[in-house]
Amino acid sequence: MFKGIFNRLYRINIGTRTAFSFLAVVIVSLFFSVAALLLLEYSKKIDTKISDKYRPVISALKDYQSQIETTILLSSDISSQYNEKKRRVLTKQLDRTYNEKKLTVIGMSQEASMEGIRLNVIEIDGKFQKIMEKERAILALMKGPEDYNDKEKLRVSRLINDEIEILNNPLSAKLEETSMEAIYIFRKLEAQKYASYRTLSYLLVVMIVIIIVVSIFSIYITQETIIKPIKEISGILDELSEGKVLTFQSEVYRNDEIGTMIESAKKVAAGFKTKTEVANAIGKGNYLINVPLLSKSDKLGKALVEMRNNLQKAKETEEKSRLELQEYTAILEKKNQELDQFAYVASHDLKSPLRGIHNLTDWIQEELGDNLQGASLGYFNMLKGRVQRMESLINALLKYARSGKTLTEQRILPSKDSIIHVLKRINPPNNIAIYFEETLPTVFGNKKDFETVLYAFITNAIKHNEKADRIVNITFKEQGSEIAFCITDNGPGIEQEYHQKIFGIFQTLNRKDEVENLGAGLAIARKIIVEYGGSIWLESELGKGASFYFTWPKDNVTKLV
Amino acid sequence: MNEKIINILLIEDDEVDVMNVKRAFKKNNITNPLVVANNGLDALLYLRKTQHEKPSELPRIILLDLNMPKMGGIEFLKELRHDEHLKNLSVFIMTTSNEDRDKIDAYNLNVAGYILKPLSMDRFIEAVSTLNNYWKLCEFPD
Repeated sequence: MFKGIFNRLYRINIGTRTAFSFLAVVIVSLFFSVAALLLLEYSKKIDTKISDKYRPVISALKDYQSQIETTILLSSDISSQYNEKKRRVLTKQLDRTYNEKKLTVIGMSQEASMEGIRLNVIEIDGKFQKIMEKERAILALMKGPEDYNDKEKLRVSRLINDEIEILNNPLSAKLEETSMEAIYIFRKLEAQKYASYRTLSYLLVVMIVIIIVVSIFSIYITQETIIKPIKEISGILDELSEGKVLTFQSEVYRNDEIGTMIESAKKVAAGFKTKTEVANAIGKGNYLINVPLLSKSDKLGKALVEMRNNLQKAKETEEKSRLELQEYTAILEKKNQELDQFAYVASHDLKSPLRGIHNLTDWIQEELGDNLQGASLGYFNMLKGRVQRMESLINALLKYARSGKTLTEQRILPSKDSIIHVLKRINPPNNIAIYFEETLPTVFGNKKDFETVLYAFITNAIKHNEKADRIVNITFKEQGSEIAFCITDNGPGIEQEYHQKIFGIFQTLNRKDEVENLGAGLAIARKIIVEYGGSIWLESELGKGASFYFTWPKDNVTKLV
Repeated sequence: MNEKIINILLIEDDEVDVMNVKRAFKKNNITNPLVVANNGLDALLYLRKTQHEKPSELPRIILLDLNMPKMGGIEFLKELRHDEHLKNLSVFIMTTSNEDRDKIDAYNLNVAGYILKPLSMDRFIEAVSTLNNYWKLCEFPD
């Protein structure tokens, strides 16, 4: 209902509004204070008037009245009976005291409102002068006690006294009236005083009521126009600070400080929104975006700029190192290929002269026939043995260079079938017991690769075992996306220090001249497994057999697709 | 039938290997004339010339090495199989290469056999003896 008023209020600054209301309160208070002071002054004046003028007049009037009454009483007593004391008092009063009292009343009733009293006193005095003449006549007539014995004198005296009585009747009425008038005036003044006091109390009540109403109204206006909008703004700012909202929307349109505050808050929100958008863009990799700075010392903006620049630098560095890595990987792959090619070509070319040497040795032996004897014959046989070993080594090297992951014919392989196939190829002697589980998992890969690996492990498990009853155990375990196979034997076992070494090419723990044992099988197996992304390790102790482990990819559906 | 003498062409660049074959022939009492070419190119020239001038002396059996200078064994085979007059000759590969690739390429070009040169002389003599029995058994057109 106050919307219209409020909208008009919103056009004025809160400062101005506060100043205006303060001024209004001051004016109202001043007005009431002045009015109260004036009223107080007025009643004080009346009070002073009453105490200074009217009360003495009334008492003086009473004195005056009693004076007259006393003289009349005294003269009446004296007129019939001698009394020296009364005679002296009367004389004194008639001569001096009466005049004194009369002048006091007249002097005191100079006030305009007491004009009537003064005139009455003058009038009374006129009449009393006559009474006083008669009283003096009585005093002159009756001078001593002997005069009261004189019947004529007593009669005259009583006659005068009667005349006094006659004169006194209207006089006392007049006196009474005058006294009444004075009291009336006094009462009227008193009434005026009380009226002013009443007005003052009304004024106070009105003032209190006005102050209460004004206070309530100003509290209401403050609540509606200042506290409520501030709460609303702080609520929105809270949400803004908690990151719930990014826009500042307010229905309030005003020109005052709150309006300015809302505008500032809107700017802050807009700043936040812009910054958020910029930060999002930077987060999405747009490092060319311009960060709008709100001012020269926009710290958040500067931080964003720094963040953007650092991210850009980091991305550039990352891109650079990624490219470098890519390049390096390509080079490495090429080098590996070259190395394989080199091993292949080199070993191939090495084979021809080797065969030549072997043939020539044979022919020399043939030519010499029986002439070749003793140590020379032994040397010849050793020579041939060494040449044969060299050919075996070259063949193994060739095989190693050629081995690895075959990219063609990748399919699901039942590992049990592969094991049986490999065992048929090995054709193990009768004193070997080979155990494997009834259900073995299927794997994914090239059949030949997988069987080469199995062949290497199984022959390795058999070859080095010289016990009477040799046992080979093949087990498996699922390991994430891979199958870990384990080939355990009850052979001589391998010391910890050789566990890594035995997977290197031509690394064998037996004597070099044993043709059968070249040490290439495990190296080839390792090369294949590593290229399939698997790993290879062993657990063994000297004299306690060995467990060789390798992991191979499962038959994942994704790999089929 | 046995009187029919078949010429044999040996295409081999290694002198010792040539001697080896000759010795093996001698050991097995193989009397077939043996012509030697040091590489595929020479062999082709010889074959074309003989086919042109004395077709009766054209070797029906070729022993072919794979790794040779100028023209390798596989290359020679391709040329041979494209030649209208020579494509029906029987070719035996005698090589040190144990590569699957070489074997597949050779058989795709219709070789009669793929023999790995053994290291020992004795085994080579055995191999040549078997070969001799084989071609003795076979009938060739006149």
